Amino acid sequence: MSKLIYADIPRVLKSKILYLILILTAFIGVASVTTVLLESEDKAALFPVASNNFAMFMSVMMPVFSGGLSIMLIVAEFSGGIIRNKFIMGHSRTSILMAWGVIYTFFTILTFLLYVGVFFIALLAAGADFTGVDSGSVIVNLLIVLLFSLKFQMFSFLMICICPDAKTAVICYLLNNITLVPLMLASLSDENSKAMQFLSRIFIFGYTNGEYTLSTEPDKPWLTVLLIALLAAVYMVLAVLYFNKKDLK
Amino acid sequence: MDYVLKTNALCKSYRKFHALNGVTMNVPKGAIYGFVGRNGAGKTTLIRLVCGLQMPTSGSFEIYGVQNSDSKIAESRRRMGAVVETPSLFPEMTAEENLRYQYRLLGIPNYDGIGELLKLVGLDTTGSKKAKDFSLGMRQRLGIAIALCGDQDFLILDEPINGLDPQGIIEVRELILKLNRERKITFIISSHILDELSKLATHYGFIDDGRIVREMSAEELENACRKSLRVTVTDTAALAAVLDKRGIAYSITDAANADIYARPNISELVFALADHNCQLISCSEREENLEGFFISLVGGEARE
Repeated sequence: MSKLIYADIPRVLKSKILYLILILTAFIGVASVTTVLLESEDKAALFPVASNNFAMFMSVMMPVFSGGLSIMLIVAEFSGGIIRNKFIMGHSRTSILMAWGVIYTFFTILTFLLYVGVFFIALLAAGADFTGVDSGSVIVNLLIVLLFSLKFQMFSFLMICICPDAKTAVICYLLNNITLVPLMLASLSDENSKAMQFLSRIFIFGYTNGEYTLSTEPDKPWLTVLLIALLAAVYMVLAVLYFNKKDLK
Repeated sequence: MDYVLKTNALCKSYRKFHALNGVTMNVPKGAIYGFVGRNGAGKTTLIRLVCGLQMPTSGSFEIYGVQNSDSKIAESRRRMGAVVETPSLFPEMTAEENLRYQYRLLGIPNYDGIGELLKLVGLDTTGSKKAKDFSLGMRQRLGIAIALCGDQDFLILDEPINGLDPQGIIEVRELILKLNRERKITFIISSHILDELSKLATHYGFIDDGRIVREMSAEELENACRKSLRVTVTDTAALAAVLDKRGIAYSITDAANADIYARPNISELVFALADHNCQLISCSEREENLEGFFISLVGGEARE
């Protein structure tokens, strides 16, 4: 697996898509704060209001960036036929999939850290008032949101295994956004229903729904982490099972 | 004889469609094995199975004596390279970058051999030109170079000259011959451009409807295709006795027919046969090329 990682990391680093994503991420990180400043000069409200932009980025743009990068570059392996060489060289299907997992998880975390870094630097530069903000809750919230991104990454791997095609990126993104539908339906009956609470733990749109701020103490974070991790593991296992049986051209 | 690849009753089915129906073939070490069959005969399916891209439905194969079910098959596969349908390369990379990627995949610690490899396939002057800007022939040669990165001694080329212009065909042909002679690399070349294949192959395997219909050496094929006189007689044993006495090469094809590889005096032959109570019923000249032989082997009717 190390050979696969060693071969693919320079390729990702040479990819223009990566740098485009990183530039856009940094830009959105700044914009997440400056757009709030344009509406209000209340320094105390800056962090909570900017948190909404943070949630919007993590639920809408992060799937595009993290899933997009992995899908585009992995699909290129299929379309260019490089995947065949990996098999002929004796790399197992599981190790190929795991290597992708390691590489693109790394770049998802990198994108996340860049956004969070720029976001907080912009907040500090804008003079945001952090008085009373529970740093512990902020860190837990950040980690949970990162986990949501990684879960989406695993979902995109499963989709690539099923259909290694450029259209997969669009399908993944649409399926991600379709999760809004059950959340809307559940919230129509009762926003505090058990179903709504459960869906909020596994879909980022539910988790960051309503008056979300990074400083809000999350409800049973261990349960949320457990459910997301479980779902991510299920996606990965399904991907491995499917990939191991798949006939390739 | 040492064999690089042996398949045993290999089958591959896609739902109700049987792409391979018990293929048994043997590729001798050092051979250029021409794998001949019409479109859809099962050539690429067999190559995909050998390369590990697909799993056989039943049957087995061995590469360098290692069974496909053996965990050591991955090590055997490392000795082979393949260009399946299209060359496996990143179009956005240069020839050298593509080879570097391949070296990293193989875990080769340095890139020392890349220059020599590029020179071998005649791409040492391409510099920063990206693979997407290469001609088809150049891409094909780069594909072969990529397949050779780990000093492989067995290459599988699936339709390597498809779509190439005459110059490209000559380049690829010369490269294959050079690699076979100088590096003793064994090749399987699948193709339906039979005329071109006949300039390379030392052995042939003819596949039709997912079955190997015949395996033979180039020498055997040459004998089968050479100019001959097809004679029909009442007693082939008598014919054999007459021809043996005169030292004329021949082959008995069935109970009534034989091919004579010479131009005997027909009158003398008729009298000699008459002495053995044998009649000459008919005779006709025949000459087959690889295409003719292939058609006679698999039948010429159109198929879906």
